[in-house]
Amino acid sequence: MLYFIADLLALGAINAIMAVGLNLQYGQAGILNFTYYTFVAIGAYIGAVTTMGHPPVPASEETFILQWNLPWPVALVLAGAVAGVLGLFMVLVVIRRLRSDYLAIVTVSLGFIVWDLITNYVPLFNGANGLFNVPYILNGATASEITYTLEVFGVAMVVLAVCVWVVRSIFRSPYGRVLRAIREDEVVAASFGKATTSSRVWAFVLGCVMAGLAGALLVFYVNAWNPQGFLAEESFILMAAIVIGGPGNYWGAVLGTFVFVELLSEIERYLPNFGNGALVGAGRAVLIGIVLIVVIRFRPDGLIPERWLRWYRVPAGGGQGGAAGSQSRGEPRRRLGWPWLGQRSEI
Amino acid sequence: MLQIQEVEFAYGGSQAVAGCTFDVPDRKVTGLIGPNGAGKSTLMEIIAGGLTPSSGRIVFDGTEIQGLGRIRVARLGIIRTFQTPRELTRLPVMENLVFAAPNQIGEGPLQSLFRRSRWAAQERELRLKAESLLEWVGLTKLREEPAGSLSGGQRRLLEIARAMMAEPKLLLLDEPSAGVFPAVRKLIAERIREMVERGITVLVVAHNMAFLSDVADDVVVMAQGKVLRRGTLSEVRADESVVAAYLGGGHVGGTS
Ligand SMILES: Nc1ncnc2c1ncn2[C@@H]1O[C@H](COP(=O)(O)OP(=O)(O)OP(=O)(O)O)[C@@H](O)[C@H]1O
Ligand SMILES: [Mg+2]
Repeated sequence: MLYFIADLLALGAINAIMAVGLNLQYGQAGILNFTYYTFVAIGAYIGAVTTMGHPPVPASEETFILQWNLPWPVALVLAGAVAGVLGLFMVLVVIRRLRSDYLAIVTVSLGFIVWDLITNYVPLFNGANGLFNVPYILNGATASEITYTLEVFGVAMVVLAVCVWVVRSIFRSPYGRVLRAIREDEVVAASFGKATTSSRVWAFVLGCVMAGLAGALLVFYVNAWNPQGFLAEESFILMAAIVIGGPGNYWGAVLGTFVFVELLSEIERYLPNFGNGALVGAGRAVLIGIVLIVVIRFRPDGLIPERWLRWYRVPAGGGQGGAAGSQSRGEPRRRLGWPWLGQRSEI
Repeated sequence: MLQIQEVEFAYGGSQAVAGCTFDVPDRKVTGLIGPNGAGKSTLMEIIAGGLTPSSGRIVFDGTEIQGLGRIRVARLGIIRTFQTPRELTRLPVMENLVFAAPNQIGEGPLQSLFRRSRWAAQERELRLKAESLLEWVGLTKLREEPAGSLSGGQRRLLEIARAMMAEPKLLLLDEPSAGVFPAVRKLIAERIREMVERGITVLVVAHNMAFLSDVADDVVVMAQGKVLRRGTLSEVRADESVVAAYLGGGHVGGTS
């Protein structure tokens, strides 16, 4: 039971990192990335091949590039960086020419291309067999299973904290405001001279870096990576978590993954399998669909809507700041209610 | 300040602007009128950089700006409002304003993270400025409401305040008084005159004659993509060719 909880926490923290990154891309910048999990996979592969060293030849027949033996924190950073660079590449291909609905389709196809490449080109990451024997980090080789799980949880929480700090700082800054403006109406943002393209590119890249970090942590935790683990379905599930938690609100993203992805995948164990294991996965998909529909119907802005966040907190210091800077805090809770019910003045 | 020279533009096969030439003098309000479909909004869009003319030049402060794109045109100080107001509907009124300010330090991704104290100081100033602009257009009470919850007249006022926040040199207003009550129309006209006193040049499209006589120093009449006549409002209204053009598409002094 204890191990079960620890496992839930560790995976939850890792998933929350993904959610925060996707929230930056979709919730803040309005970029519909249907292949987010591809970047998680890239992070996982890079994390693996930069720590695995030379494969133990007789024991396994894995082939893969690099075969480095870096310390895991370096590998972690590298995983984030490579995912970020790949993200930059992808977004530069699509962002200039395409409207956002096309962008979503293109991300899906680019995701399939990467997947095809990895599964078919064996020397890269051992093809469809995936990588295994990825080394433990910290003292995982000797520690008990539960200790290792808690350690990974700790590391993941540190990474999550950094990611939340980044996203929160962006959210509260003029840069975040530009992202939201572009999301609301790109023409208006451009008509006020805002750098629409580069703003979105950086939000996309940062989100991909977070995916890479999460992927590396995941592979350090489970010590293996199978290409079947990053099919399009995973990206859709994450997207569903964001929509349910509240797109635009990073706490919503965290809640969405913890409660939703985690709990639902655990519930899976208790679903009847009708004598066929494959049906369990289908059962989960159906459950996700039902929750999604219910949430969209009754809470279209998600469980924790964006407007629950304070927009800006102008940092303390500077005497007259109080007048303009903090009124959003002093404002009564009324404005946190349903939208469009605001008071209308006589004009 | 702004010269429009032989500008042409066609949507597919239909010629919306067909060789349009006129000047917008410095620190004046130039009214742009004409029947529906005359090409006024299209011309505004071309000036604002959203459309590239197939020929002709647009000269602003001595440099050609046609086809520069919205972002670079805006950065030169040409700011516009839209015929159908386009607020950032889910953002509070206050954010709609502060967003519009130019040269914000914290708009870069890195600066937003690591130059916090610098942009925070600027942000405080911008918020004070936005407060005073809200008061200027009478929207102070709605400061924290999502802009999408505003009425039509309030949106027009918000667009004007937002444009002012951007510190424009040249302001392009596309029917700022369409569909609002007479009292609000008066207020909008008053605010436009105040802008001119602050040194801003205005090009304003309008159909309402009462509004035009309140704001416009000078009127340019467009019909079928060309300039038909230029003069003071009363001169123009007395002109037979102008009346004829309107009879083709509407009335001089229609109420929209
Ligand atoms: N996006 C578009 N695609 C095709 N044709 C268009 C488009 N926008 C406008 N037009 C056409 O171009 C011509 C000029 O339109 P425009 O909107 O510039 O007129 P306007 O003078 O602003 O009219 P109004 O007073 O109704 O706003 C019209 O014939 C219109 O039908
Ligand atoms: Mg028009």
